[in-house]
Amino acid sequence: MANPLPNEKEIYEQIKSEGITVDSGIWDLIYHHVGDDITAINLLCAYYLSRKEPIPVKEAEKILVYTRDIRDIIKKITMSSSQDFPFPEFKNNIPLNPIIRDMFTHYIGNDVHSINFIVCDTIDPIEPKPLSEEIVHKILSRTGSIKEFMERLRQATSP
Amino acid sequence: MENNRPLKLLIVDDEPAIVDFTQKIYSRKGFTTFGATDGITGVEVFKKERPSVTLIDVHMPYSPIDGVETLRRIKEIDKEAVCIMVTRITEKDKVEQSKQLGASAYLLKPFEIGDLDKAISEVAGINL
Repeated sequence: MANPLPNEKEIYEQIKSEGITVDSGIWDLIYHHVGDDITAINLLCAYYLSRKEPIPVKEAEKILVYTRDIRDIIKKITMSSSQDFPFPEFKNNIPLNPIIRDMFTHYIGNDVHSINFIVCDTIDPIEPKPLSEEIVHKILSRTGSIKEFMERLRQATSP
Repeated sequence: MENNRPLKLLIVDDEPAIVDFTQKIYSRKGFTTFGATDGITGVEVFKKERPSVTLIDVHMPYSPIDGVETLRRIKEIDKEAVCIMVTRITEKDKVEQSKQLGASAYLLKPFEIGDLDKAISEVAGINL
């Protein structure tokens, strides 16, 4: 999982003491996009683990599509201005508090980056290899970490 | 499995990869599986195949009807239908509506395969 921020405990205390919240519509957007993407990656990995087979390169490329979608939604959610925010109904709830933006980019950003790095490194076009069981477990550890982070932050920031 | 016949599992989700991989995983576990990427098709497949368990995604923006309406139409066909609703933690109102319509269980997205195994085992009375 992404390394915890050194001041993580203090950040959660600050969220609580300052009453920093994230609108439920924004959480809905996040859970809709990231939830589907994480579930799809989990199922893809589970299928090949159940077959005791590595994930073929073509299938592994799908993981990169899902991580791109996660990255895109996090990029939008963490915009520093609502001017270009593509979901007009939630424009008033953007930008998020800088602390929350930093947490999204740190935790989800790092986990997504790690998944991308692991997959891209393995299916590198020069010498593409399928994803071994060990790599698949690493990917699942990262998706689990994203899920845990989302739930913890959602609870901390729900009014 | 039911009377030595394979259990039928229908997956209704507007994310094709989720339908595809859930079908593949549970086919390997001995289920006969069906998939639909929108609610209307899901109801049609239900009517024809009468699955033992139906998994319905609540939030399907790419479907003409959402998961709650899909559940409502399935329950009109068979009020004893066993349906697991896949929801997000933020969809409390939809969970409430599904409860009133008689959903058998709920599963939160994002989920892992173990979570789905557990939900199906509970509603189907089997050990996965």
